[in-house]
Amino acid sequence: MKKQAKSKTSWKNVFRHWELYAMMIPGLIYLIVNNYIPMAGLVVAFKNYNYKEGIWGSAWCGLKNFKFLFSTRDAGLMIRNTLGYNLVFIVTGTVFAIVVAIVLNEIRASLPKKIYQVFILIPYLISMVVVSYIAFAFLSTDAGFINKTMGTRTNWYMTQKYWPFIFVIINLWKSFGYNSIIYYATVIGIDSSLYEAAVVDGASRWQRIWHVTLPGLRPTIITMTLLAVGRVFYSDFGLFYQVPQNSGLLYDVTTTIDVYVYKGLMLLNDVGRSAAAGFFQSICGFILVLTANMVVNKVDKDNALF
Amino acid sequence: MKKKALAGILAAAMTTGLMVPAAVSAADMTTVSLWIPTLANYTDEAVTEVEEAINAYMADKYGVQVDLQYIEIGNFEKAVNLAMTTDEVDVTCYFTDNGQLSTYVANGQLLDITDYFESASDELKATFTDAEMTASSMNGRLYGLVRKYQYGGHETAVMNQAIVEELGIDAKSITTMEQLEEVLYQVHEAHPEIYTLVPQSAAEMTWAWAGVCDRGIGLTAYAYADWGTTELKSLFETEGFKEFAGYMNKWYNDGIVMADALSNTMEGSSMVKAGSAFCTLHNGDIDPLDKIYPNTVESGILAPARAESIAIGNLQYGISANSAHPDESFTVLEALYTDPEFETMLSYGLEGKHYVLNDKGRAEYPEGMTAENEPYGGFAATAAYPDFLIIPVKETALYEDAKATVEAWDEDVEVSPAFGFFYDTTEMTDFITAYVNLEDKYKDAVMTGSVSLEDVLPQIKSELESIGFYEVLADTQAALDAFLAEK
Amino acid sequence: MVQHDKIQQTIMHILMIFLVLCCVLPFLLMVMASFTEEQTLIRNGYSFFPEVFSLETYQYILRSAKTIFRGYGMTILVTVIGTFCNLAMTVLFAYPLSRKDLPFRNVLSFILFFTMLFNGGLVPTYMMYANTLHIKNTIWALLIPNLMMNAFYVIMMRSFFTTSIPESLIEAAKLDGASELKILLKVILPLSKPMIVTLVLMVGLNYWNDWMNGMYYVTDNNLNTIQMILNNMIQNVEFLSKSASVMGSDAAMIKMPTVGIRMGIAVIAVLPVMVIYPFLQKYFVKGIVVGGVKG
Repeated sequence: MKKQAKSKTSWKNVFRHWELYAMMIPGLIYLIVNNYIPMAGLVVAFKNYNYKEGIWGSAWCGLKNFKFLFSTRDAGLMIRNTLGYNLVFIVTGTVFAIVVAIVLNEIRASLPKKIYQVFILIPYLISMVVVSYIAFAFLSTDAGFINKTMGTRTNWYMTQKYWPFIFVIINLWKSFGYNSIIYYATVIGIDSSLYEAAVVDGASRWQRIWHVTLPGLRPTIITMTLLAVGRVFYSDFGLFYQVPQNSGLLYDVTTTIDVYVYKGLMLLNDVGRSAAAGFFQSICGFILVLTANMVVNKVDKDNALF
Repeated sequence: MKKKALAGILAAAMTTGLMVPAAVSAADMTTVSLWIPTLANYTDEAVTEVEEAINAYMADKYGVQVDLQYIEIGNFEKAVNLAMTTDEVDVTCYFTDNGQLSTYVANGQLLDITDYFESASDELKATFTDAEMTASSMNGRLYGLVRKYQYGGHETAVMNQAIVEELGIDAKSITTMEQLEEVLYQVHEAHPEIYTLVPQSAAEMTWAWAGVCDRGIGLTAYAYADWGTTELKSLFETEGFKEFAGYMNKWYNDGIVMADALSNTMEGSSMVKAGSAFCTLHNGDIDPLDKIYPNTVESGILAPARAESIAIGNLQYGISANSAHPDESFTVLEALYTDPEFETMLSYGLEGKHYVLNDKGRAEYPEGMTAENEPYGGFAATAAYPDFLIIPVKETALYEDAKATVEAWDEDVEVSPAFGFFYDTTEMTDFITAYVNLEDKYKDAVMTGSVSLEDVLPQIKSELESIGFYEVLADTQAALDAFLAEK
Repeated sequence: MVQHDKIQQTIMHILMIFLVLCCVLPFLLMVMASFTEEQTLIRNGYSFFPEVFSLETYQYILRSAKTIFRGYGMTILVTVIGTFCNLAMTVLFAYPLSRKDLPFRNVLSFILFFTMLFNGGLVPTYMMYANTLHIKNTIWALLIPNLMMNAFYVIMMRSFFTTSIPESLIEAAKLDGASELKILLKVILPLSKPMIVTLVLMVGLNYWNDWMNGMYYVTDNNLNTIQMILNNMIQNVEFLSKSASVMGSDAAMIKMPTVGIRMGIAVIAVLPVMVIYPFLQKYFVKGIVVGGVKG
């Protein structure tokens, strides 16, 4: 009897909010059209896709399409590269951005502070295509700025050992401004009474940073890292393909999952395999986010994503 | 009264009909989309204009309409492959220079046109040679029609005219790599400020495989052999490739080859034309290259004209398997090869507007127009169109009769002894991907001389072994031997 | 003590100036390259102080002004309309989600969040837009696919509403008898300026830099955006290095502007963003403070 009454009110409750639901209609339609209906197409990951037969008519082939990612001798290589670069990017990106954020916060002169914020964001605004042009201007053997200035003749596009560093530098260059501002925004949001209390206690600048600023940044660091963890099986195609000019000699350090799949598919236009690769990346990201979130939940319940 | 009214209506209908014949009848005619890669600059207005003229002509003659879909060449394959998943594509161009035909067939992308072709006109059947029919067939079924083009080519060097004249070089007397070497070193000394030798396109040293080895045997991506032989090898182990790589490596180390060859993004002949480079290795054409590229001089023939297995019919036209109008599509496909009026409009545009016929009956740009500003863009780059043998010869051409010239050329070409052999790789997708990745890794680096083949060969061999290359090659060899025995 | 502090401040300024230079100089090098004469570029290499100054690049761009400025116009049009639509949809979706009293709020949030992890891939999406909705070669093709709503931004917006709009304001407006839409427009939005400006910047940047939609859904030159023109050049280079041999001697016709010209087009593609951006800067930080932090 009671239950019935409750469900009644809850439906009433839904109707009461009809305006709010109506607002969401455009967004929901968009999600259905752009995301959910095409998601049904993921079945092609398990099919031997035939253009004539289409998505539903093609024959099932089990996990054959997934073998493509693992049966090759490049499998270890591309998974190592994808995960390795992403982990290094997360660590260097976070540390560097925090340092810059703290420095920005410590600087007192307000005009220079604003100017710095404007300029460090410039790389974030530039697309990877343009970055690849800039990189070439620096690294070209004959005409590159580095070789010309240093008087060397290093063949950057042929030497593997430089590229892990080049990727880290470019990634840092492109993303640190944006990340710094996110952390900086958090830092200025920290309750100033905490700082005042620290000053009263006679804490030095370093002690304040260590005991007040960093703990204050913790939720942001956790959120940002969790989001990045969900993407560790993906790589920025432009960074690993366009920036090194697709130079063959660099494949061992530039082949990530996305690059390998792109090259394989350019030649084979195999819809099933490409869907399988995407599915694999999504599933791995999903599992990683859930796991990481679970760990965070155990250690620091407040800051878990969900 | 009634009669009069009816007559009036009829007359009115007829006049409108006469005034806009295409518009009225187009409604109940089928429209066939035709996908063509474009190289040169064009405007959509010019394309629409040509399309309207073509449709006015097609309506009367075939009762079909054509929808021209021009795609930037760099995007072409991606765009068409995607579009072929739907019924947007009817007739389309496709490339097979990397053995893509077997992929298209395996994916079910192309319509089997064997039956259509059998009941087609004799004129169409007579258009293609046996070699060309083989090139567009797979397992005895026909999937497309090849672009009419000369087979393969010879290898030459294209050199900057100003420097050739300045240093008094006798270009035509250069017929070997040693002679070329001598000239290159001489130029490098005299003009250290420009690139002496640049790749033919981007990071690819040359497509003049006549001077390297036979490739694409069995329409596969991995089987190579030295010219004239049928012993399959990996690319890196053929004698021709070793010799070529040897020269390039020496030249590279001596500063003759552009140091940035591997990350180059320019087209070789345009650099030679512009004077920023002296020389590029090129594949010969039926027209002398120095006629095609201003400010250049072509060397003598460095390697004779040869056609690799996949060089014949490396661009084809076929019908998408998802086409909603296969019958009408074949009508258009046939007209591409048999109807000079249609093919001319398609390739050159409108007479008097995009090209003119001079008193010799040859085609040239109208007064004041060049490749830079001609709006339709077909005239500048006819290589993408199906059949240049049935349209007016260009004023710049050195021959009178395109058909006879191409036939004579094809007679002289040394065709790969493995031509016509097809090895089914449709179930070997994973191997092919791994192989192509491996070849990409080393091919351009070695061919531009950026690395020495001797240094990397042991590593290449061990990598080839690890992807099971030699087993696959042995199987292919067995199939090739059986094919040759039968032949 | 004071002196010590001064030294610290100086060091920090030096560090920041160094970082600013790192961010600006590479871009400047590209700008200078676009002003360098082609032969000088080959002979002397890339330099901040080119020996022979040349306007050839920009003359070329002016000559092909029709293509390039139409591309510019298209980019601006798409960016403006797209950003507006995206923001409208984001706000309309995020606001109800931020209301704690909304039934099924969690289900709807999950529906949104799930799209961040899984997508159907290119081919099914293509079929949807090309075959079912027939938006190929229309301006919608540049606006709708993948760009019109992004779960991440909706979540940012929602967090902003939950954290910085006091519930009491909404309650008060309700007591006045205002409709939900009115509350959103008259009460919430005026308070959300920093977040909206932040999203305008991020969404606008996505539209400005996008070439994927153009590559997949547009074959009509009239709809080319500036990024598509840049991308076409890259694709043509790739074709040159893979399959150019099928074009024989006509391959030289492939539109392949010199490196300097490509740099010039890249410069004019990036410039407007750089000019507009500093004006939005101050809101950007504020927006991130509340919205971006707990995404």
